Amino acid sequence: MTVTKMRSSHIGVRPMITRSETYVLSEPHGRDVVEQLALERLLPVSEIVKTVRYFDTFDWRLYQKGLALIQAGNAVYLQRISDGEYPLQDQIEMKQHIEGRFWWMFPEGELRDTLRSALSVRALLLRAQVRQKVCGFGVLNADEKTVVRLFLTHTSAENRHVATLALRSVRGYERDFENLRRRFRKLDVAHVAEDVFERVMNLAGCVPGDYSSKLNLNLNHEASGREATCEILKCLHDVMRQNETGIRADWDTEFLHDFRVAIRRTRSALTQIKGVLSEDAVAHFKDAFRQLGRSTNRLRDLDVYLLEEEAYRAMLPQSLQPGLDAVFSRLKSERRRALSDMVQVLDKPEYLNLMDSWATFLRGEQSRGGKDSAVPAIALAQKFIFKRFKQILKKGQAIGDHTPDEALHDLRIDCKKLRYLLEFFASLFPKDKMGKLIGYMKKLQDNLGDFNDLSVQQQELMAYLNEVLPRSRRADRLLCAAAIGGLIARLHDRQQAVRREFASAFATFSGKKNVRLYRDLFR
Amino acid sequence: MSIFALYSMKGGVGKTAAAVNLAYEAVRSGATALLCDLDPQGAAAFYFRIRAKKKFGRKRFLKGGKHLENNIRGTDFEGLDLLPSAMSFRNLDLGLDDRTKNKSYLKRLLTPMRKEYDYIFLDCPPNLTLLAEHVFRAADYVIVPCIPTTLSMLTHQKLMDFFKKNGLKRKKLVSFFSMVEQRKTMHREMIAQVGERKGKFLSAQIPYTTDVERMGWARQPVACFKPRSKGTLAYRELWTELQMLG
Ligand SMILES: Nc1ncnc2c1ncn2[C@@H]1O[C@H](COP(=O)(O)OP(=O)(O)O)[C@@H](O)[C@H]1O
Ligand SMILES: [Mg+2]
Repeated sequence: MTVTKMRSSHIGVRPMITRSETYVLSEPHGRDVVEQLALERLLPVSEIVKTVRYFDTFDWRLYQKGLALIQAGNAVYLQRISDGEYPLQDQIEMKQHIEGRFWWMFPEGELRDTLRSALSVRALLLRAQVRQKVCGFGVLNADEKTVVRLFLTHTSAENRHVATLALRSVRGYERDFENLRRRFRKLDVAHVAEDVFERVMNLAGCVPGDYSSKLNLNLNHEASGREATCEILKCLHDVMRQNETGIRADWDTEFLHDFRVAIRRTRSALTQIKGVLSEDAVAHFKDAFRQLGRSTNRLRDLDVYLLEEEAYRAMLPQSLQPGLDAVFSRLKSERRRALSDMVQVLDKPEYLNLMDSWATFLRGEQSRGGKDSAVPAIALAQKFIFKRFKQILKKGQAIGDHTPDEALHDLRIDCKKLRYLLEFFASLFPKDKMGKLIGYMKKLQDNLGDFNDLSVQQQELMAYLNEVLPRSRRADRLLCAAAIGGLIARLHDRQQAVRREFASAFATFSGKKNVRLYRDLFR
Repeated sequence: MSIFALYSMKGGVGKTAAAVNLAYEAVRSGATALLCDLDPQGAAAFYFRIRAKKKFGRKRFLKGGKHLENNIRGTDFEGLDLLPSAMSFRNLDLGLDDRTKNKSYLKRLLTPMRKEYDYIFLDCPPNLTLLAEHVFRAADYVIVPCIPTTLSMLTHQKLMDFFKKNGLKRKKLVSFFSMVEQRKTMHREMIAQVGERKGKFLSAQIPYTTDVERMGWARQPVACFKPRSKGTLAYRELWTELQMLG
């Protein structure tokens, strides 16, 4: 890999004080517009033709932060979408295509740091590719001094074109910029555009933000329970289907994760939203999705351990760390098998039939239904949510320092159910209050989630110690055992600490403010 | 971040020509730079076709902060900005006199700009007054163009003595030969003499060439209208050496 850091090019570094405005031109020959303006003192200064590739994760993590990652030639840089063509930081030089890379595959530096916090565990995918011709001009004053910069950009992809024109101020000549801007705004052929980025992406057949693992529903306030439920389930169905390709291609671990969450939410909806769909169908699909969910378990578990590899190693002293090599190499080969099993499941007719019949069912559900199918969704939501909330309060208050672990696991599942209900029906209630509710809930859920993860991890390691190691002939068996023992001890310590924090996490949840919110919204 | 002052007690030695072309080279290599024109003649601003805003003058300059920053103007080259001078700069000394005891007021004025630019170049007027002392304290390097003549060398010696007498770091003083005419015996001999002693002379020399002279007509750095000329290459070489300093 040849990676060299270089300074931004001549036009690279972002000046501190610049104003800019971008216009979309209604006819493709931007030059005519420029001439139409009769800017007699227009000096051509540059002309660049390039192929521009845009990268982002499947769920648009950069776009959600207002960023775009671009590779043009050998230059790779991040751009703040609202800023137009200025790189956010110094660009780096990378010859290789960056598709499929994770943040840690970039050379150390600012770019990598930004990617690290934005991408987390997700891989970069090529989202769009366009050809661009950028002509730069200086608008001159009577002294032939450049007082405004003007860029005419012609972007094309798949026989579609868009011409844009950007004005950028020169420091100390803001008045000239404002004057020119006023003239541009009066033209019929140029329109101020805030969404140039989206337009460019659309050219290449791509819609930024078209996928999110969050449920972005907008339920009708008058919807019946049945209508709302079908809409929720349809949305979850789509999430499953959207993630299939990524699971097969194994771009990153989150395709499977989102796929599983959609299954879990589906099952949770089927169980919790009672009396709305026909009972037979519910029983049938609940069972089918339980089985489907089960077939994803092993691969996800392995993904989690492998993602934690660095953290595990860091928990042990240097001397014991090599003891984990055997554990992880085994996990890696097991993952290869688990992945091919998973892909097989997706290829089976059972899976395709399930998805088809499920979609058909959701579409045709208008005619049949359970006894409450005509009750307004909002009333059902209130009933189910408040009931679950009361149940959690009661269970949580019964938990003390000596309560068995099972009670915490139980409570975790109840909390998850409540969380799903809140997410399903969020759009029927005021946004700010729902935001607060979720906030109060998060601390408790994190606590219970950590507690559970830590106990599952200990079990997995114990199983390795009890079942795999005794049959192993490895020379470093003892070292392995010691490392695993060390890890279990560390994980146990943490779990204890997490448990000690339970009381305070629960106190926020069961506090007066939260209880009042639930009462106001759901009773 | 470094501040380079182009300074000489003598006029017409190539200070402004060097300041303009070096700042351009700095930006051409990917850095950002601010060129401060401290000479009331305003030659540096002239080369970039920049006029100061009407209300700008000594008072605003000395107030500093926003008053100064609002008068910085972008040149035709992105990354290269210029702070123009004004006629009232001929009295800069008056304003500097009562500001600070230790002659570091100019340094303080420039501090906010250090964050914004990779390099600051100061184009100085030719005299050894109070302003010069402020310049010596503000600059990380004082770059002295020297025409290779006996008289020039004497003036140069005087400057070194001045530094010594006033407790200034002589390490800051860096010189280069300017307007060199190889066909002149005196020039060759002076350069050879220094070559033996070396001292703080850079090895890059700026030749006397009409291309540099023609900057007054082109109103651009020489690299823009004569990109492959001897003058262009000489300034590029000089910048490469200065960049090594810091
Ligand atoms: N290397 C050079 N060759 C020819 N003429 C030069 C050269 N450097 C400067 N000049 C010319 O000499 C005059 C004085 O130069 P300038 O840079 O303004 O000196 P200073 O700033 O030291 O007073 C200007 O007319 C300039 O064009
Ligand atoms: Mg001068």
